[in-house]
Amino acid sequence: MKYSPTHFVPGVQPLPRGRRRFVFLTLALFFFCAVPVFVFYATGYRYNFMDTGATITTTGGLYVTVGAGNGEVYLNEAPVRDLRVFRNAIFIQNLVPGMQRLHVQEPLMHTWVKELPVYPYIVTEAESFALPLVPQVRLITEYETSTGTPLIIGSATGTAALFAGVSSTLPFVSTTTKSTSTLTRNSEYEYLASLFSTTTATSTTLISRVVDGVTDALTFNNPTTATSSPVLATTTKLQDDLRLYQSGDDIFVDFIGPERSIPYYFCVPTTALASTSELYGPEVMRGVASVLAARTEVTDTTNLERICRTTIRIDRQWQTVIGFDFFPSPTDLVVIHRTDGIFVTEVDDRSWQNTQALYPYPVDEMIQTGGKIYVKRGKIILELLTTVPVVGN
Amino acid sequence: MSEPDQSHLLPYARRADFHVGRATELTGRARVLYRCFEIFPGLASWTTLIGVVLMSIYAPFVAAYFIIAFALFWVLKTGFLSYHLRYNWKRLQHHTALDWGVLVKDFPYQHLHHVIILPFYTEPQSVIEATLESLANTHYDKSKLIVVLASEGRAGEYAENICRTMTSKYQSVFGTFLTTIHPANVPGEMAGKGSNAAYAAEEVRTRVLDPQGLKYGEVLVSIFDIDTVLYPDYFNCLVWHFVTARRPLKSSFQPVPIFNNNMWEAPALARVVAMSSTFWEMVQQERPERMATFSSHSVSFQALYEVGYWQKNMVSEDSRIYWNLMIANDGEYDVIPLSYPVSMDANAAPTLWRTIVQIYKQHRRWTYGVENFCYVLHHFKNNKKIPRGARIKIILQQAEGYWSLVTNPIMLFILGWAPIFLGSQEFHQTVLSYNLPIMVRDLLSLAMFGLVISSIISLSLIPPRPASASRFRYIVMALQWILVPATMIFFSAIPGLDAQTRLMFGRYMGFWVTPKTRASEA
Repeated sequence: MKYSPTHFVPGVQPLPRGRRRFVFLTLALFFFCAVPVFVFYATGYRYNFMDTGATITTTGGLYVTVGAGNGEVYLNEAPVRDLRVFRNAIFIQNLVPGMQRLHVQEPLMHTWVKELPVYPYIVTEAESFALPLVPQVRLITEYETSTGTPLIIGSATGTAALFAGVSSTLPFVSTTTKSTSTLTRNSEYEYLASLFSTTTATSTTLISRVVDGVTDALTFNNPTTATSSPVLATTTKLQDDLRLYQSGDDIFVDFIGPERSIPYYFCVPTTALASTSELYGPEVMRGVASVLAARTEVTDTTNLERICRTTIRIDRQWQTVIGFDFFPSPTDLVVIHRTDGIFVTEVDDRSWQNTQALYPYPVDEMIQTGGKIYVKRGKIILELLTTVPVVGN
Repeated sequence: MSEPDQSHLLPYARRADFHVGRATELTGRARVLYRCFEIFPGLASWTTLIGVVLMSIYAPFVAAYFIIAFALFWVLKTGFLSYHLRYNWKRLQHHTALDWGVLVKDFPYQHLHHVIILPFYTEPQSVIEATLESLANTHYDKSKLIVVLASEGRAGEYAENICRTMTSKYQSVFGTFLTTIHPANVPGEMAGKGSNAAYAAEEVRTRVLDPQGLKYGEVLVSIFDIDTVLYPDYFNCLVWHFVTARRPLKSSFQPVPIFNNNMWEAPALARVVAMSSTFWEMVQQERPERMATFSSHSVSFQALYEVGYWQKNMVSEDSRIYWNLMIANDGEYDVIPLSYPVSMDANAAPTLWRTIVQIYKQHRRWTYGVENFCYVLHHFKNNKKIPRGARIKIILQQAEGYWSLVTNPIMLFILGWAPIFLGSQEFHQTVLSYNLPIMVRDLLSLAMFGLVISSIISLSLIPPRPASASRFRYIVMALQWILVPATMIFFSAIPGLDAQTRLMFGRYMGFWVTPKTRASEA
């Protein structure tokens, strides 16, 4: 006996083939229509629904690293919705090509401002930094009380002058007594004091001369190095393929690593060559021009989309430079000991170089060791903190 | 020594190479070609994976476009499969609730007999007993059931004792209760379920069917893994589908294996992997033209006899029998989905690490089903009676299936990020480079919504909560689906790649018996 439609059958029948085919074809059609849309969108094309006519615009983006803090980003004075898709960075897209003004603000910290050009299909990178508005210091004295509290020996007015306009992260005791027999010597102070005395004797060591020679030999053509005056720096600092040195009154940063890993701020897109001066200023223009003049060949690995300089001059704001070093982290910043205090300046010279005061008072010496910055004023050593300590910690 | 009688075999099944298991069993040009077929799946998968890496290095823009398109394809594919899954869930629930005993009364079916083959090796007695108990509890005339407990000679005295114990307990329950001992080390055979089942089928023919004069076309053979627990109306449901089938003797009948016997004891990882396998079978139930038999299934004895039973020289005999039947019948063969459940064990061991190892090995064995692809290619080349269009369609479907099984999870969850890490500087400074991870992440998140459906359906398929299990476990069971990206890579893609690579290099796999452990034995 064969099946007949009159027999009772289960109420839920198998999914009809026609319906399956319809769903499949609908999805397939959607796929083939959507793929170009997705690809164009990802590339930077946008369809402007607001215009009266159908207009497709090309857009670019900005990628701003804002560090570990809670900095708020403003684009052309308008707050940017926090899109931290990556760890400490914000990717802003849908930007019409042209100059864009970025602010990064954080309570109690300096504001970082930069004006950068945005190009179609390209992401312009930037890295902000923010130092405390009120310098934060940790006092390291020669003597401590029996409970470990730093002890300043001197007049009350002298002590007050030392901490005018700064915030100490630790309590301290001020005394006028000359007797030190009952006090404890601070071993940290002794260690740091020995480092200060070492750096005072400034001379280019044999090792640094060898390192300089080797890196010069290995680096690619560096036509923009400040050769007009001899490198007079008593110290050359090397960190992460960057070389920091003084030449004349100025300090410079050279990139000495392989071309493929050069930081973005050394480069400008090829499409912007004609307007480099207008977009980035004459300093960048000069660097780019000298690279182009010196370029003799294009290899397979040459990135034709951009032109990269290898030397950037650091803005010292017409002040005399006493000392300098790379900022502990990130290394795209330079900490400069100037006659008027300790300042941090970014290497990125596309538009102006942001400079923020770390300790805007004259000091005798500055050193950087163990990822920390120390200054010496008389017999007092201060650690300059780069963040505002969280209350309660 | 006389040639074995082959007169009962279908004409194509009489070929010497009909039961070929691997290239080494052939000679000459056929061997070379079969070897190429064995190399092809692994080569295609490796080429794809390495190709994506190379493309990310040398053509990152193209790689990025490809990955975006692929992620979108994945979302739509997930939606398409979820649509099938949801529909089959509805049908499965309906079929489970139906009284199939009433439905079959419309038909004369009392002439039908059922042979139930239960191959086992060293599985615990409690597992075997639970299966036989569920058979005894089915709503069907037990006198029509011929139960064959098929043991392995390799298992020695343990298996003999089990057979004796079960015979004494169940002999009177079923029409016939037969035990067989598949001899060890038979030349040309691979130790495994296929050779055991084939031996048992021939034994039941000579010892039961022929002596009782039962017609092969009126005997339905159900082969169940030894941990299979039947729902009460299985045989009524099977009979209804058999008698209403367009060509019942040219059809196999596939229930939905739900790996939920030990669901409350298995770790989350095992539950997700097990339920994912169930879901895949449920999806396939709604597109039977792409189905091959899998695990427990039923088929007429006549169909089996016409192709010489299950193959004895390969691993994935459960799917191979479908291809044997389909090819020997010149393409005139169907798999009929029953949309009726059978319960089986989730792969779980006493410790998490052993569970992981077991799941990996089990899935490597399952994905070694790619050996069927070589078999199909070999015979599709030779059997011109199968319409060319059907052959091409099946080959493309099978190739896509084995390729996507291995490559898709790896491409989506790992290589999707390759252009970002491997691409050139020109690529890194583009909006495309920054948008790629965002877009892939968003598309995959969208695809993960399909897991919500999975979660809901899985909760409806688990057995009642035992008193010892806390209600909190329901929440864990709902949330366990976030493990899917990991399980897809480690228990689908990588074992699949392992299996294809072994086949590619001619390092043929043997049959690995999944240990069955339940809480009482753990």
